Amino acid sequence: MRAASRIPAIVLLVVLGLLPLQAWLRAGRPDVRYSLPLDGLEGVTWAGVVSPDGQLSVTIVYDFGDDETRDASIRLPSGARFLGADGEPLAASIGRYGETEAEGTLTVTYERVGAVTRYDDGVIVDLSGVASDDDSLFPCARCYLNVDGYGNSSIFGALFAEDRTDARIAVSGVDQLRSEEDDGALRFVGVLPGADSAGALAWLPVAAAPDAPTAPGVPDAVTGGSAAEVWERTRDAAHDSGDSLRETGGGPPIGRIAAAVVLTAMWLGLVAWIVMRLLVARRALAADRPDGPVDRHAAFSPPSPLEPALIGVVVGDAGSGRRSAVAATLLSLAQRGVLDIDGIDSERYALTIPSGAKGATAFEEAVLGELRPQGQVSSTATLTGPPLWGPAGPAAARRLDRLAVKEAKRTRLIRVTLTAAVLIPASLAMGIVALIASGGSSWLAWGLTLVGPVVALAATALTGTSLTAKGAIERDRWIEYGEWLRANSQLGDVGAPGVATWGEPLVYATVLGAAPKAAEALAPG
Amino acid sequence: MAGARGWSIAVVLCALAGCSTRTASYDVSVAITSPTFAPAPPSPAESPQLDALVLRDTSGLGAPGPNADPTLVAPALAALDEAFPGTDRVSDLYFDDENVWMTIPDPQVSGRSISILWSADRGISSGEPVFTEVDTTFPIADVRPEAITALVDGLAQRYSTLQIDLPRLDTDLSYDLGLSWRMDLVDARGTLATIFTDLDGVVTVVDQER
Repeated sequence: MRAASRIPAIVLLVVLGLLPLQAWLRAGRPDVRYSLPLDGLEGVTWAGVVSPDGQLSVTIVYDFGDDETRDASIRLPSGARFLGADGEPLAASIGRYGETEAEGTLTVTYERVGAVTRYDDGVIVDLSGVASDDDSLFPCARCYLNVDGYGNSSIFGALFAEDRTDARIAVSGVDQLRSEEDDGALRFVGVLPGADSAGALAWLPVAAAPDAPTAPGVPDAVTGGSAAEVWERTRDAAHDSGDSLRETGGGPPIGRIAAAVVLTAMWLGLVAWIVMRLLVARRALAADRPDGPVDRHAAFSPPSPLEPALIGVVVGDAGSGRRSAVAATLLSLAQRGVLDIDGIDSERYALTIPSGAKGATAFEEAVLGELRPQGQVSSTATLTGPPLWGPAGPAAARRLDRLAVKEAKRTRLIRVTLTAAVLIPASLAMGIVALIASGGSSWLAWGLTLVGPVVALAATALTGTSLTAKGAIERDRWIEYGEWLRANSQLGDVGAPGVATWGEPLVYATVLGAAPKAAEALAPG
Repeated sequence: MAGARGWSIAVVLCALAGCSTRTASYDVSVAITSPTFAPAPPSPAESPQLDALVLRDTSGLGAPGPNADPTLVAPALAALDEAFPGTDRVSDLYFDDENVWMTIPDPQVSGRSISILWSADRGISSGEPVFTEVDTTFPIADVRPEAITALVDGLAQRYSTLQIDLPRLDTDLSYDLGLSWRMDLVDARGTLATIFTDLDGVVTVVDQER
């Protein structure tokens, strides 16, 4: 009970340590994970290339992730021409939609007029969809492709141009966005929430499209005198419409790193707290102990007025011999005249609890309450033994054990080494932070949010209690006294009725293992 | 019943617990290759986009009327230059098998335009000037008679049952495709499709209801 085992704490730390570990792995990983994938549209891949004269050629691949054949409606941006589906030319209404049949994947190709505009300070490729969703990278992917249900899809993209010096790309409608200039293109990856629409705005150097038209061809497009102006205005307009155009760097998203740092700090804090508690527990065992053996003279008499129940808690199983704190308490009550124990023969006795008998402590009251029929205080109870307790004895013993530990904590003889009040909220908090950081996509975070508190509770229980300095002193002194009683008395063969003769020494001998016969006669199970 | 409920709860819990998650790898983006632009066809009538056109059964009936005559465009522009020297911009140019219509900016008064009609028989005639609010003109140099001739003649050869009706070069009717020729393809059952071409006659869009 008092052994401050480190193993449950280590198990808890290892389990919770998986969260920051996973967070760091995710922070360093270039890919993104997402939950609730949309069955029927696994991902959308968008690719575009800007020619020197400002033409834009686009390929969009819709990956349905199944083998179903579906009638797909293809919505096109303004100025779309040379429409093709799966490599075949496709008729398109001037209302800008085409119809086709798709199985497994659908590859849409077209060229687009009017999306690329040249200014003195750069070339703007406006696929933001600020004026109309149709003019974005693609309109609601789920809506027009005959995909049932609701969920998220992945999105991959790349915009090619001959020159990408200081090029920038901002993307809207995409979560967990990662983008960078890489291998000949501005590339991005992310999650398309609800498999809806996505937009992009790119700023290329003039050298990327030196012959591009200088007037925007898209009606209602955001106009301005410079690429910088259009860039800002378009982003403002997108922001006002509730679909911000965001840029990200090439490294891991800052949010992921922050989450990993927070989780690591929480875990290290927990490690520090647990180590501190274990060290304090260990020091408490060592602190204030006498350097040498206790003075033998001092062991001839009870070292303190501690009640038997608390002696039982601090001494535990130290030394030999059957012992019982409950039996010792009953003998203490008998010795003080609160109840009577009369011998019937050499083994048997009659235990009488008079009407109105009261114990001096909570434990004594509880013992009396357990023995009284229906706990009635006003009636006299006469019981014979052994056995005294009957079938309910083991359950009563467990209840009384818990009460003894509680009283020992209250009197600061022992304390819980790792309190649940810290471990459970800490494990919950780490799980929730990991969940938020992963956007709900981490199995581990879900699992540990649910299981972590249970593991924490188990760690609290299994790590147990430890003696305080005061408890350690009491323990040493009472063990010494118990040894003296075993060596210098004949209490081993004295039964419960012997309390009338032996008095107080029998009480303490019963809880210290020096009076096994009396302990056996009165113990509850 | 209890089993179904338990299964439903398990599915919901599974969904909540993120049982179904997927990964989107940046490597996929890195693997994306650049799209290509449509190659120029050997001739306008061989534009790949025309493969999107689906002909209807007309029970052996031929084209409902004569094709527009693209050879009229060049002499019409020559007559215009003669009648209105220095005119270098034009708007809304279209023709059928006999006439060419177009609109030019009034050389006398800015903001006004004049409708022009030309035919081989009657030569050039012009209407009364009218005020125009929006300038929809384009350079006469954008009208390439040889390109539209190659397209219309090629289409006539390729689709003998279709009438190529009223090719028209107009900014407003080009929608957002950039300045484009548009023309209707008509069979014995009516208008089959509208096609759009660039200034070189390459078909860019086939607009056909199915």
